[in-house]
Amino acid sequence: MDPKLRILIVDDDQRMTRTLSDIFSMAGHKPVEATSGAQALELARTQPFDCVLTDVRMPGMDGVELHRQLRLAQPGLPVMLMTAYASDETIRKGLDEGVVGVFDKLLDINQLLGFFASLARSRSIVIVDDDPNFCQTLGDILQQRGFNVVQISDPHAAVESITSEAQVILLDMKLNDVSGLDVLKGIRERCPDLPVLLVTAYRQEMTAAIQVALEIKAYACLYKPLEIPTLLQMLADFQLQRLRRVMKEK
Amino acid sequence: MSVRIKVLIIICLTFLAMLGVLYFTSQWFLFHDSNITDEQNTTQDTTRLVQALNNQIEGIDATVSDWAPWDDTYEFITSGDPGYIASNLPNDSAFTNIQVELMLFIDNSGQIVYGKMVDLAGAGEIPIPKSLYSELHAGSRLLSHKDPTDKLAGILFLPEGPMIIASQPIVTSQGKGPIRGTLIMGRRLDEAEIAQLSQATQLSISVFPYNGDGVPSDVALAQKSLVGGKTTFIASQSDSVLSGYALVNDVYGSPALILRVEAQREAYAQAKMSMRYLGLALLSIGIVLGLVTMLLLERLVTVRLTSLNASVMKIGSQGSAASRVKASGNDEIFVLATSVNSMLDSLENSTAKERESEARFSSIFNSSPIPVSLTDPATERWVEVNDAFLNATGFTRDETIGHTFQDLQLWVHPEKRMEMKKMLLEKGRVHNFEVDIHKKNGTTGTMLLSVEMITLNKAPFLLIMGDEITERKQAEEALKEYNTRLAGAVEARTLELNAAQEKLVRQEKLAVLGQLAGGVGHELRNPLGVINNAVYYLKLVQPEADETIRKYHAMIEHEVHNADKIIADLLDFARIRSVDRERVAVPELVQRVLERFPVPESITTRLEIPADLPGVYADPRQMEQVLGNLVTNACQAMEDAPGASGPPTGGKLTLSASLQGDMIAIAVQDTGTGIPPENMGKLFEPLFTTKTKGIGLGLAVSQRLVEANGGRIEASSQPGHGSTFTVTLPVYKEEIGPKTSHPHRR
Repeated sequence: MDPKLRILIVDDDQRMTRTLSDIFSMAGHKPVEATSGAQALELARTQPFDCVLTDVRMPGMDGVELHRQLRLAQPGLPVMLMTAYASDETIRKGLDEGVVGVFDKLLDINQLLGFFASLARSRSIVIVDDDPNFCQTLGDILQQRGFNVVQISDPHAAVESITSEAQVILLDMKLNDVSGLDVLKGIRERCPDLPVLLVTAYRQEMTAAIQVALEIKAYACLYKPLEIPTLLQMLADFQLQRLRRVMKEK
Repeated sequence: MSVRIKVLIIICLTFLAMLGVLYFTSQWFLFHDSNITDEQNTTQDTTRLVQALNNQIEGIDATVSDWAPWDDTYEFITSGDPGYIASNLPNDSAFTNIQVELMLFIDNSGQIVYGKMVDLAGAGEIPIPKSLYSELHAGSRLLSHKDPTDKLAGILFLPEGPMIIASQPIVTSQGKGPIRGTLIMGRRLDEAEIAQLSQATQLSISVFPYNGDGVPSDVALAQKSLVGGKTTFIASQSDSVLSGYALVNDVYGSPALILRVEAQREAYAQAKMSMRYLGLALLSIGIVLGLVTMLLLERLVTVRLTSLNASVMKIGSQGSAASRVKASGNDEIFVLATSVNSMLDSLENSTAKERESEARFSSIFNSSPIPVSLTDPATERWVEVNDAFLNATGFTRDETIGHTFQDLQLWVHPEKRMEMKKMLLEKGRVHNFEVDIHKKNGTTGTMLLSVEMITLNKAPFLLIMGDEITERKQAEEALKEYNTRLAGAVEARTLELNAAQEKLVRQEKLAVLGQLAGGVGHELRNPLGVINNAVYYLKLVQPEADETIRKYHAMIEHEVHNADKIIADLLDFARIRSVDRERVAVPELVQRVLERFPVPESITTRLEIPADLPGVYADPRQMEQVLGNLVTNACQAMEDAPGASGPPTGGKLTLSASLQGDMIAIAVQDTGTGIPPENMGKLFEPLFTTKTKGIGLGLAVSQRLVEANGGRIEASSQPGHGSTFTVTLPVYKEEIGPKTSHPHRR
C-alpha cells in the first residue's frame, strides 16, 4: 500500500472539507481540515503536512495567497488548488508562483487519489553511501521533511533494489571498492531519466569522474559537507516537475 | 532761342523803337516847325510883294493926284492949249521923271485930249495899246467918277500885257468941279518892272495871267485854290523851294494876275541838317546804351541763368534728384536756384517715396499667393505677371510677357472674352468671372478672375487677379458625389445600426444573463461538489452494496455531472476565457474530440481529412469544446431522427476539412432530422434550443469561441436529410507565432 499522506484540506465550505476528509481517510491518508487560510497557516505551523489542497475563492485569504504564505513557512510543500469558478488571472498567478496544479470542482475523486499516490511515490529518496553514519544523519533530516528515505550502504546491492521505489537517488561517488560512476551507469541502463544527485568529499580527485557522470545526465554534484537547504530546494524542484508532469498526464 | 539772343533782340528792338519814336517825333516837330516857318516866310514874302506892287500902284496914283486936280489941267482939257503940253510935257524924259509911261487926258465926252506913251527903258515913244482904247468906252469905270475925289487905281490886264493904271477926275486945284475929264496914267508891268520889283523885294518873282493858258501846273493849282477871297497860297515846289502865290485883282475887282514868289526853304534845310545830326547822335547813344545794358544783363542775369540752366540740365540728364545747383547772390535768381534746390529736395523725397512705393507694390505683386497679371488694355498683352500666376498656369515669364492669352490658348472658351470685356465696359470692373484654363502641362483648371482698371505712371492697365478654384471645384464635385454616396451609406449604416442596436440589446440581455449565470453557477457548484463527494464516499464505504443502491449511486453521479455540464456551459457563456492560440494539427484535433465526445456505436463515423492539411492557428481546448459540441449535437440529431424509435437505426457522421485560401474549413455533417428554415436564423442565439435537455447555450458559446479565435461558424440544413456545421479557422503561419504561452486549465 502507498504511504499515507498528511493532507491539509482548506475550504470555507465545511461540508466540502468534511466529505473530502472522510474520503481521504477511507483512502488511507491523514487529512486535516481548515475552513480559512488563517486557520490553515496556524495548523501548518504546528504540524508537518505532505501536501495542501485548498479552495481558491475564500473570504479573507484566498488560496493563492495561502500558498504564498505556506511557501515561506515550509518551502517545497506541494500545494494544489481546487476551484468552482475562478478567474484565469488568479490561477495563472498561483501556477507562476509554484502551485503544483489546479483541480476543477466537481472534483474527480479518483483522479485526485491517483495524484496523491504519485505524490507519495515522488517522496521516496534512495541514499547510496558506504558511510552508514552519513546515510543515517541525512536520512533523518529528510524523513523529518516528509521524505520516504531508503538507505543503501552496500555498494554491491543490486541496481534493481536501488531503483525500484526511488524517485530521486543520492549517490556517493566513492564507495568502498566500487566506483560511483559504475553504479550510475547501471542505473542509467534501467532508468534513463531518473534524477541522480552525486555526492562526494573529494572535489579535486573526482573531477574527471564527475565530468563523465554529468555527461550521462547526473543532475548535479554536491560536495560534502552537504548544504541541506540547497539539497532541499533541489528536491522540491524535482518534486514540482514530477507532479506537474503527473498533472499533465491526466 | 536762347535767353541771350532774346534779350539782345528785345534790347535792340526797344532801342530801335525808342530811337525811331524819338527820331520821328523830332523830325515831325522839326519839319513841321520848319514848314510853318518857311510858309510864314513865304507868306510874308508874298505879302511884301503884293505890298510892293500896291506901292507901285499908289506911286502912280499919287502922280495922277499931282496932275488931275490942277487948274492948269482943268483948263487944258477944255482948251486943249498946246502950251500946257509944251510946258509940262516937253519931252519923253518928263515921263521918266514921274516914272509913268502912259498919260491919257480924256474929256467928259470921252475924247482923248492928249495921250502919249513912252518906254521908260529908253525906247522913246511907243504906241498906246489898241486894247486900251476899248476899255475907254462910254460908261467905263475908268472914265466915270461920281465926284471929284472918286479915283481908281490898279492893274489893268490887257492882251499886250498887264499894266498898272490910275484914273482920277480932272478938277480944279481946289478939287472943285465940275469934272471936266479924266486923267489916266499907267506903266506896263513888264519884265523890267518885275525885275525891278524883284530887286526891290529881294524875291524871285514870276507873274502869270489869271486866266491865261499855258501857265505852269503849280500856278494852275494855285489858281484853283485862290478863290473865295483867299489872296495867298503856299505850295511846296521841292525839298528846297517853296512857292507863294498871290492873287491880284484888276481895277474892276476881277482876278487878273497871279504872282509867284519862289523862296528857298531855309528852315527845312536847317531841320534836315538837324535831323541828320540828331539821328547820328541817337544811334550812337543807342548803341552805347545797348552795349552797356547787354553787358550788365549778361553779367547780372544771363550768365547766371545759363549756369543755373546748365546745372539743372545736368541734373536732368543725370536723372538724379540728389544733386543740387549752386546758389549765390541775393536776388530772384538766387531765389530761383533756392527754389530749384527745394524742388529737388521734394523731388528727391518723392522719388524716394515713389521708389519705396514701387518696391512695395512690386513686392506685394510678386509675393502675392494669388495669381496676378497686368495687361495693356489696348493690345491685351501681358505686361507683368507674378510668380503665383506662373505657378498656376505652368508657363514661364518669357512665354507670357508680351503675349496675349490667345497666343497661349490659355482659355478653354476664348469666346467668353467678349462677355468679360462687356462686363468690364459696363461696370468698370469684373468680379469673380469664372474661366477654365489650359495649363501648360495639359491639365485644365478653373479660375475666378477679378479685373480692375488701374493707372500706373499715367498709363492705363488691366489688373487681373485670378483665384484658382480647381481644387475647390473638384472638391465641391467630390463633395457632391460623396454626399450622394453618404446618403446611401447612411441608409445602409442605419440598417446596420438598427441591427447593431438589436444585437446590443441582445448582448445587454446576455451580459445580465452572464452575470447571473456566473453567480448561480458558482453557488450551485459547491453544493453539487458536496453531493458528488458524498456519493463517492457512499460508494467507497459500501463496496458490498446491493444492485439497487449501486444503480442509485450511479444515477446521482450521472445527474450531478449533467448539472455540472449545464453550469459549465453557463460559465463558458458568461465569460470568454483568455484565448491561448497555437498551431493545431486538424487530424489530431478531430481525434481528441472523438475521444472526449464518443460517438454512439450505432452511428457510422467518417473522416475526410487530408493528411497534408496545414495546421490551424487556434486555442486547441476551445476548439475541442466547439467541435465536441457540434459532434454531440449531430449525434443527438440522428438519435432523434424519425426512424430512431426503438433500436438505433444509425446514421452517418462526416467530419471533413479543406483548405480554403488561408483558412481551413472543418465541417461536421450529419444525416439527422435537419433544421426547419424558421429556426435557421436563431441557431446561434443563446437560450434557443429544441432539445428537451440543455438550456440552449452550446451553439452560442461555440460561436463566441470560434469568433474569439479569428474564425467563423456557419450552418446549413436540409430538413429531413441532415445539417452541416462548418467552422472556418485561420491557417497557422510561422510569423504569427503563439501570442501567449501558459498552461490552461480545463
